[in-house]
Amino acid sequence: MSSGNFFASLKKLSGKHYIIISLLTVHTSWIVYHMNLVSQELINPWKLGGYGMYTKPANRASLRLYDIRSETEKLSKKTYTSKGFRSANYRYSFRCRPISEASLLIFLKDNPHLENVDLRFTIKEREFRRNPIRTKLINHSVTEIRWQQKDRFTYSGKVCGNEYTGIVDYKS
Amino acid sequence: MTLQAAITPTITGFLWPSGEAATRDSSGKFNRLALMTAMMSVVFEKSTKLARYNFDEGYEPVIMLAGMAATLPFVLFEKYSRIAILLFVLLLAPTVYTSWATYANHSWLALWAIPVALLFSKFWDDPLYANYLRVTLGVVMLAAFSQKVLAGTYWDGSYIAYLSYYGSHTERMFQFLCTDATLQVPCGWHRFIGIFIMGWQFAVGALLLAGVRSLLFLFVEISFLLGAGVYADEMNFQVLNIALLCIAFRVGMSYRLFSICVILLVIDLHGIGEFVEHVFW
Repeated sequence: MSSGNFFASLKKLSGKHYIIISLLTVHTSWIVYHMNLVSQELINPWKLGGYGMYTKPANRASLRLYDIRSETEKLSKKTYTSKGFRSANYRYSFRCRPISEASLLIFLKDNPHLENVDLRFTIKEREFRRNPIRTKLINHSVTEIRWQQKDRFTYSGKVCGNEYTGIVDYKS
Repeated sequence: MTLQAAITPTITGFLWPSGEAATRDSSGKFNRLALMTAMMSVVFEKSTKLARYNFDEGYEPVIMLAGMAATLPFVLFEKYSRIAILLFVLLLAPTVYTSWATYANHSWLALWAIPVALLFSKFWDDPLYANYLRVTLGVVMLAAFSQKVLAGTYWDGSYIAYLSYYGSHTERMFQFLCTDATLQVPCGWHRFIGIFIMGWQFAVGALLLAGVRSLLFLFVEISFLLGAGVYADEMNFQVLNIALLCIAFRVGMSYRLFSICVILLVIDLHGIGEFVEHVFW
């Protein structure tokens, strides 16, 4: 097809055709980008619409909470709620995204009995291993909050080799 | 007579309204039934999540889901079809906004497929919508293939070996093919199954993009989807795919196939593994 014919045929397309072509282009581009993110292990392949489910066991990322005031003690899941924290961190779908300051504030608002308690937030993931084939639960990210005074805490953490810190003025 | 010519009418006649769809009106009805089935798979998928919902946080999700379910019968009527789809999409929108990060891939496929029907005054009549679904499903199949290549867990059979020992009841169905040694080095059968699944997805994706619309191809693909659904104990995505394929191939969905899909969706609420256990043990 010559370039003249090509542009002539484009002119014959209706608005609906252009919308359909645009949707297909966006969808395909996102899938390619999604694969790029998966190859760098930046996102969960099961999520975000890249059709990478059933390529590996689901990582089932979940929060474990520890009281680190004196002796590190794992807190029972029945003693706190993490729904808001999970949602604020997009259910850990973005694997290398640091735990956000906003999510820490949401967590403390949802669990006022844990204010002024030094805490460690650990996100555990199942990692697929070969030789032998199995999954292993690993600490994927760790974030600690330490209270400097009643209305101020510092946080520091590490995920995917990157460290982050911050100071938060907190009003309950 | 070729083998295909001999067997196609028998096996496809059971699933597609070829005789019934002689008129333009009735073929539209069967396409609307297919889209309604696709929408129904979304409702069923959302309802499984509601089983774990804490109702202290409000009844909005239940009301939204009930509203979505209520729109379904109206999709069948030519006069109300478009407005029913619009209401369905509007009721779905808040969930998309709040939980897009956790959306499963079948929900994403539904989002790319169902709202687009609103562009057409009569989606059941418009070949552009059917072609859009055909290309979308082709791209999705090739994406699933590419993701498996990227992961490398199907080439070497490691994922099939993993599922055979650590998967759900149905995912362990290929365990008998190999010994425990498959967990050290995946055995030939597990590698073969992994490579076969990849090859199949690539072939289906390529054929869909090439515009192949043979009913025999559709029948074989639906059979494979159902087999994959049983293996993964996950029928929701398969029903959505089947319904969209019926529109993409412009044959619509027969009442028989619709009944099969509804039964599968109901079984899927608890899982095939649990169903098999309940019935046979």
